[in-house]
Amino acid sequence: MFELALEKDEDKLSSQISVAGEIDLFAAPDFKKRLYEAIGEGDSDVVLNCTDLTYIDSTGLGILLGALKRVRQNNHNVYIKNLKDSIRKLFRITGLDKAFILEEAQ
Amino acid sequence: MSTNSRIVLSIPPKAEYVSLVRLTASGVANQCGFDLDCIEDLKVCVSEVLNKAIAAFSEEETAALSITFEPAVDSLAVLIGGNGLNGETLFASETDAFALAILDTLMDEVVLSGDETAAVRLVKTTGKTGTDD
Repeated sequence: MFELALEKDEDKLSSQISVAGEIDLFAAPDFKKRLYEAIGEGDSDVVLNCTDLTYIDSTGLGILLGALKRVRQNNHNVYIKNLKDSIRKLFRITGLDKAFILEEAQ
Repeated sequence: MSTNSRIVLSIPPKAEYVSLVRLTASGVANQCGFDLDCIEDLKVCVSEVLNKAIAAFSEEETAALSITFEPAVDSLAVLIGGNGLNGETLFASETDAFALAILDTLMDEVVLSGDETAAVRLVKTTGKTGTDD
């Protein structure tokens, strides 16, 4: 089970998206649909707040990578905030810490 | 937990049951004395193997996946098998690179076998949290 909430900046320079819960094989199709809806054509930066994200597997990481590609096509970026250590470790292992901009936990 | 205790789960090869196995893995690892980092490592790796195993079974209704937990004095082994499941070909796709990297880094031992009763064998040693820390 996961939750995803979108909040556009007033100046529309970035899409603020909060992701919570667990993103695994079961949740992946719905997560992909809702994330892609949230980023639209990828015409702004995306800020993913992962404070309450407790679990993600390689399926979920692949979906995030797909979202990054869409945003990068428009010369924007994906910023990921407040990752738990156990999830940050997965980004390091897969090399995705070099692809995304990971911001330190607040 | 006694080191001669074996815990065996049998699940339909469907995505909705992966969280159930994660929960069981967490409980078994906790009783074995693993720290939180090791428990998280084990949950992630068991899920990665199950993701691939479920994809291998597609929509076959009658199939079952078995997940066996074998505690030892200083380690926990998890065996994943199922009818016709072949560990040697399970991670053959280029898109499996993330999953394989995760397994190789977080587990102390990963054995991919043609033996369908233990197509994948994962071993995590107590107190080791992965070399990437």
